[in-house]
Amino acid sequence: MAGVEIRGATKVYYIKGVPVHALSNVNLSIADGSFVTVVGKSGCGKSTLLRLICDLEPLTSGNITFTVEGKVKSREEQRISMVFQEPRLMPWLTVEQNMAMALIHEPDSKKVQATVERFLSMLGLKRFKDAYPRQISGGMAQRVAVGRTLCYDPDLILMDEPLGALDAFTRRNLQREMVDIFQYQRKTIVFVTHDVDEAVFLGQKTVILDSGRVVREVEIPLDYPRIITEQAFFLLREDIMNTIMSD
Amino acid sequence: MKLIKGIIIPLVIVLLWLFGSLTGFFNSYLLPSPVTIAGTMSSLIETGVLFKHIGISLYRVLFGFALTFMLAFPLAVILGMNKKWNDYFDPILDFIRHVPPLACIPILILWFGIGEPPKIAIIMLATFFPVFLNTLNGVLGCDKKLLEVGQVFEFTALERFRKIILPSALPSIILGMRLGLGYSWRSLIGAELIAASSGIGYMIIDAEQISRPDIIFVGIITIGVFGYCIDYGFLKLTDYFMPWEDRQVDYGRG
Ligand SMILES: Nc1ncnc2c1ncn2[C@@H]1O[C@H](COP(=O)(O)OP(=O)(O)OP(=O)(O)O)[C@@H](O)[C@H]1O
Ligand SMILES: [Mg+2]
Repeated sequence: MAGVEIRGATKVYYIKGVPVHALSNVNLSIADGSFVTVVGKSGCGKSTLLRLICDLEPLTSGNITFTVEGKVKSREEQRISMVFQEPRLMPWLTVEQNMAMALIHEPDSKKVQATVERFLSMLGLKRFKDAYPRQISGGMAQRVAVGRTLCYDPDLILMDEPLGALDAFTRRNLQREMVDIFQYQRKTIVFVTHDVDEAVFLGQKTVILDSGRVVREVEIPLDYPRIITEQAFFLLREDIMNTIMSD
Repeated sequence: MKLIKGIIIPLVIVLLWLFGSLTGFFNSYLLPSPVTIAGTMSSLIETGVLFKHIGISLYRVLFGFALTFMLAFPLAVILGMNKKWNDYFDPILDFIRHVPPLACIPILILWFGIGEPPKIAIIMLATFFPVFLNTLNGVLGCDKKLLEVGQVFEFTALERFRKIILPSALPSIILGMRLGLGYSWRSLIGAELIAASSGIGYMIIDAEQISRPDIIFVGIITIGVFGYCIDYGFLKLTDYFMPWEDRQVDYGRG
């Protein structure tokens, strides 16, 4: 587990010399062991936020720190893993090998085998473990990417629309799995989605981004597993939807 | 089926040739009949002369190629992974690249005589750039997005190379090796024509001196067949090393 403190985070990209403010002065606290979802329109800076947390990209200004049991820690001391918006599988590795590559530093090959095996069956990929990425569907590839990250067993999981390419049924299943993983493994999860339903179904807190700014943080005080037909669920969803649509 | 289609045209050529020779349409000294050539070939095989020359040429190619590869491959990988060094190497490499290897033969003979070293040197000059440039392109062309995956899982530089850069560059590397082998084979024959006392190229030039056009033809056919076989072997190797690539085999392009 690890919490994240984001203070005054600003990221400016330059496209042909023209500055693009992907994120402007973002302040956000992600509590140790919490499940936070991030929603917002396309281009509002969701992926950028995750990339900054993961240190794949330097901040223009501001800073990001990590907290473990109340103590401040550096990025180097964290195990952080990211599910990218695209699956990003290695075309030369099979499904199984792609997942195992996250465990490159694990010397015990039995343990690697067991871990990969476990997530293969959890994600319904067992039959395809020997397939190459070009031989599986887009949704399956996305599941492999999720599996790879879970194999890594990070303290902090960043997910960039990981269920975007899935059909409604598989998606619902995996949403339940996400809740299970969160509840039983006590990970900190930051989960980006553009699906408000999904954000409310999964998160303890939903962060609404717009044009690189945090416009609102909405607490979701519902117990897991959530029932999407409940009044409280419905009201939260409408509230968030209205906030996003209003600007 | 593909095999049959590929054989049709050579077969037609041989038949026309045979017909031209039998009817006396072709001068039998300038263009010996296929029957004569086949006879010469079988006697050259029987006496072991042909294989002796092939063996020597092949040995030169493989030795020169291996030597070049050990030089060009690491250099390309190092430069590909450390782009800041490119500024130092680009101009000199570009200069050497534009000099045809055969143009260096006279100076190489002056330096080394006509023993093995100048031939190995020619092969190295001819092989270096296809191997080097294709490897470099492969390394530089590695998808940044895949490298980020390695970064997330905290790969070391060596792991990044072995697990991401090398496999992603493999098609380019193998292409470079194929081209390099082809070039070295060709330039070696050139070198053997000019200065050698053995090898297929020497066999050909020697045949000219003793007025045996049939032997010249045997030499030419041997060169073509061996070039083809080496390339084919390489393609098979490609399929073996890259099972994830779903490609149609394309023969002898490049
Ligand atoms: N490498 C880059 N170079 C230049 N501009 C960039 C780069 N990456 C992102 N941007 C810009 O930053 C802004 C935010 O992009 P980001 O990818 O974070 O959006 P997003 O919220 O993830 O969108 P989506 O929901 O479509 O994935 C966009 O305007 C984009 O053009
Ligand atoms: Mg995005």
